[in-house]
Parts: sequence; structure tokens; C-alpha cells
Amino acid sequence: MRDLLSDEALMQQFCAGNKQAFELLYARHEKPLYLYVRRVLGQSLAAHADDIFQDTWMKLVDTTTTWQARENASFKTWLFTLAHHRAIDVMRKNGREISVDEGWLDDDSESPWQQWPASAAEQPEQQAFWRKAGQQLLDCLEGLPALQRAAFLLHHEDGLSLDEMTEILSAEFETVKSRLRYALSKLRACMGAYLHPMIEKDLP
Amino acid sequence: MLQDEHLKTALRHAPDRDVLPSGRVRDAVLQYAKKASAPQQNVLQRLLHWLRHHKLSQAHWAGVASAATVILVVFMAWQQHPEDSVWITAGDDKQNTAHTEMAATPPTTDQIAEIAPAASPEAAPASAPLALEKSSEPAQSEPSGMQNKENSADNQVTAKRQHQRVIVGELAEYDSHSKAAKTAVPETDQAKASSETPAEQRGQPESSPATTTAAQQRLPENQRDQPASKPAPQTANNDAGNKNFEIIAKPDAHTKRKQTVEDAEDKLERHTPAESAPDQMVGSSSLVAQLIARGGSQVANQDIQMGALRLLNVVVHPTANQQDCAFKPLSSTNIDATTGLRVENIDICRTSEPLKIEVEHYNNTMKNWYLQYQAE
Repeated sequence: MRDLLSDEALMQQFCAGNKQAFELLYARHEKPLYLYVRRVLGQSLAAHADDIFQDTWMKLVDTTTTWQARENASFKTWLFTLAHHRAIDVMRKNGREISVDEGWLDDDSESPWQQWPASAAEQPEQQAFWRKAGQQLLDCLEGLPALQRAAFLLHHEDGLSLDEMTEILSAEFETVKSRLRYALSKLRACMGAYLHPMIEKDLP
Repeated sequence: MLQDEHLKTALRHAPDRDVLPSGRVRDAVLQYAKKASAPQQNVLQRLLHWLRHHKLSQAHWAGVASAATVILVVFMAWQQHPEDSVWITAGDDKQNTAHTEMAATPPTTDQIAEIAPAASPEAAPASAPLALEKSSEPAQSEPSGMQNKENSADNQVTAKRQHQRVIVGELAEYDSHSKAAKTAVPETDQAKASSETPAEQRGQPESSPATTTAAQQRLPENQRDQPASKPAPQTANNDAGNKNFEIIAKPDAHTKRKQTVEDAEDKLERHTPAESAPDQMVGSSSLVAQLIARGGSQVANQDIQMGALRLLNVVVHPTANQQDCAFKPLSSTNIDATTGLRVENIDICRTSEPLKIEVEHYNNTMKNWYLQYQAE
């Protein structure tokens, strides 16, 4: 029954003193949040993922009164906002470049890798292909600026809308949209260069 | 356009898709939430909770420890500091047990007031004002404090306040004695008796009946021989009372005070109720007799020395019947606006110019003394 409750309802129950509600919330968002934190940080700062993840949840617990004041707030947006800002702080402390939105943007609508079967992952050969593609994507993400990487991850991995992303990233709508477009352009180019030989070799 | 299914699929098959935080992190988060959901018991638990989750530097810890130490010390000192009432009680106990130290240290007037009843248990309550003065004077038991210039100023202020309390106490006692004087002597008889022996009263100021204390004079006959209702000695003779004021006004004059106290003690020993002459009545009759016999200035000085501060007012009640012309106890209805002293009425039946003159002398003497006291 509780699984049917929304995140916001569970959070309200936790604010009222129901610790089981928090456990449900944690179970729901443990993996997505941890993946987001880990991928935004990148391989070089992956060691901070646990700390940021823990601090995010603890801060969420501490700000229950703040949460109660946000009647129409989305729990997921609030949770990822806390994690994003904590991750950005750690990246700044470690000298990572954050606000680089500039980059090349080519029209890759006709790139050959777009002919791949995007959902054909049922067969074992295809699973192996996409697993390699996933590893390549992670490598490509390492080359993106942090804010573009965050925009791509929030939109493609966690399914957040642009409006929600504007809140999490604390940026204007057009800015978020621009960052996402830059990220997609770079990732497509990066993935196409890597996967193009494999297409001819592996795919039927 | 902004959603790429291929990248999304690749991201879903990324090799890190199954990673999870460590069990330690999971336990820490859940434990933290569990504690937070429980209601905080008190401020101390909140403080410990805050300290546990906020890393403090070495300097911060040192500051916290110092503040806690200071608070603890102040709290302990506050708990051990006795109340004012304890100080006063201790001072009284010290005076009660200081009989053996009288030779070594100059006795205070407090000590005299408390020793005297033991020597003469049947002493009349004549020196109540004197006892009142000393009961609230714990500073006199500290001779070293008297020599301190800073303390002397404070003591003078304290002495003035004590003197004001003495005045209030004396007035209250005087009023009670006045009400108790039911057997008033007619003016004519008393005036006659006074006019027959004015020279004796003036020539023998301390041994003659006329020189008994003013408080004794105000007592009725049926109360003179009764034991003292207050543990106060009959040391309220003129000299002792006079110098007692001096002690209060100048408490740092240690040598002078010592001599004064010794004199008072000697006179205390010599004065017993048996030696005291028959007292005079409290009321208009005795006061009128004294005013006529001794003069208003002298009576005023005597009252000042006794601490009986007042002003007098002659009120004439002409009556046809001589029997109705009985003196009433002194009544007080007004307070003098200039000095704040009580104005007591002397009710008489016939106008008497000599009495008015003496009353005027009495009031002038009292006012002059009061102004001089205020100036000091």
C-alpha cells in the first residue's frame, strides 16, 4: 500500500515522525541518486560519491521543516537539487572546471550511428554491443563539462523534464536547453566515432 | 530532438548501472533518519547531536570547554553564596558569643544592647530605639572595614538609612505608648508638682526622677515596673543615645566610638530600674509639665538624644466644665511638610502663652537639629 504513495506523501509522513516512510523513500531513490552523483563526479572524483550521497540524505533529513514549507515541491527535484549542489561544491574544491557551456555544435542528424537499433538489446550479441556502447558513453561523458553532463544525465537517466532541470541546476530554461543540446551533440560525435566501425562489423 | 534513444539505451547498459552505495553509508543514513524522527528530549541532546555531526576544530573545542568551565564555576559560586539573611544571622550569633572578646575588641552598641538585659532583666523597654539602631548594623562588627575610606562612605549612607528606620520605629513605639497611657494626670496637678521641684530636676540631671528617659516618662505607672518586653537595655540615657547617633553618622571614627561605647556601658551598669526615679506620664500633661519646667529647647534636646523626633502643636479646647478638661494622650494627625516629622498635638483647655512659647522653642530646636543632620 505504501508503495503506491507518492514521494511527497511519504515525505510528509516522515516529517510527521514516520521513519518507515523514509526507508521507503530511500529504497526508491538510492540507486538513481547514487548513479547520478557518481556519474556527475566522473571517474577522477568517484571516491567522493559516498560522502556526497550520505550528506545529501542527511541534509534532506535536517531540512524537514524547510520541506514542509514547500507544499508544491517535488521530492525528487528537491533530492537531486541537494545532491547536485553538493557535487558541484566538491568539484570546485578539487579544481574541476564547472561552467563551460561553449563547445562545437554540429548538425549530426544524419550521422550513421543513428541507424542503430536503439532498443534491440534482447539478444546476447546486442547486449554485448550496448554494454560496450555504455562504457563508451561513460568515457564520452568524462569529456563533457560538468553542467552539460548533469543536464544530459538528469534528462536521459532520471527522466526529469526541462522545467525540473531548471530548478535543480538553478539556471534559466534556455540555458538548460542549450546545455542539453551541446551535451547531445558532443556525445553523438563521440559515440559515432567509436561505434562506427563496430556497426559494420557486429550488427547484422 | 533533445531526447536521444540511442544514448539513453547506451546509458542504461553502462557497466556502472548496478553500483550501490556501501552498506555503511546506507546504515548511517537510515540511522540518522531514525534518530531525527524521534522527538528530541532536551537541549543537551540537541547540543550533542549537533556536535556529533558538525566537525569542530581544536580551537572550537577549546572555546566550548572554556565556556563550559566558566559556567560551571559561576554556577557553583552562586550556589555557595549565602543569602543576606544568613549574613545577618551569622553576625548576630557572633555578637551573642562575643562576650569573652569584649575586652579585646571595643564593644559595639549592639553588644551593649544585648548584654544589658542580662544584667537587669527587669529593665523597662526604654531603649528600644537604641536596640533598633544596632540590630541592623552588621558592619560595625568589622573594625577593619571602618578604617577603609571607601567603606566609610557606604557606612555613612547605611547609617543614615538605619537612623531613618530608627525614627520610624521610635515613632511607632511612641504612638503605642501614647495609646497605652490611659491614666493621664491632670495638668494642674502635674504642673504644680513640676513647679515645686524645678531646681532639683535641673541640678541632678541623671539621678533625679526628672532625668529618666523620655520613653520611661511616656510610660504609665502600671507599666513601669513590668519586665522589659523587648530585649533592650535601659541604656537610652542622654549621653549614650546622643553618642550613638554620632556613631551612626561617623562610623569610621573608631577611637571616638570606642570611648562613646565605654561611657555608655558604664552608664548602663549604673542605671537600673531601681535607681530610676518615678517616671512621668505619657501624654499632654507630662509633656506640658516638662515644657514649662525645663523649657522647650531642653526637652527637644532630650527627645533628639532619645531619637524621639517630632514636632508639637498646641490645640486649645475651651470647655466650661473643668472636669472635662482632662488631658488626652498625645495624638498625631499631620506630617510636617518640611522635615517629614510627625506633628503631635497637645490638647489643652486654656490658652497658655508660656506653653506656646516653649512649644515654639521645642519645634525650633527640633527643626534646627534636623536641618543640621540633613546637612551632615
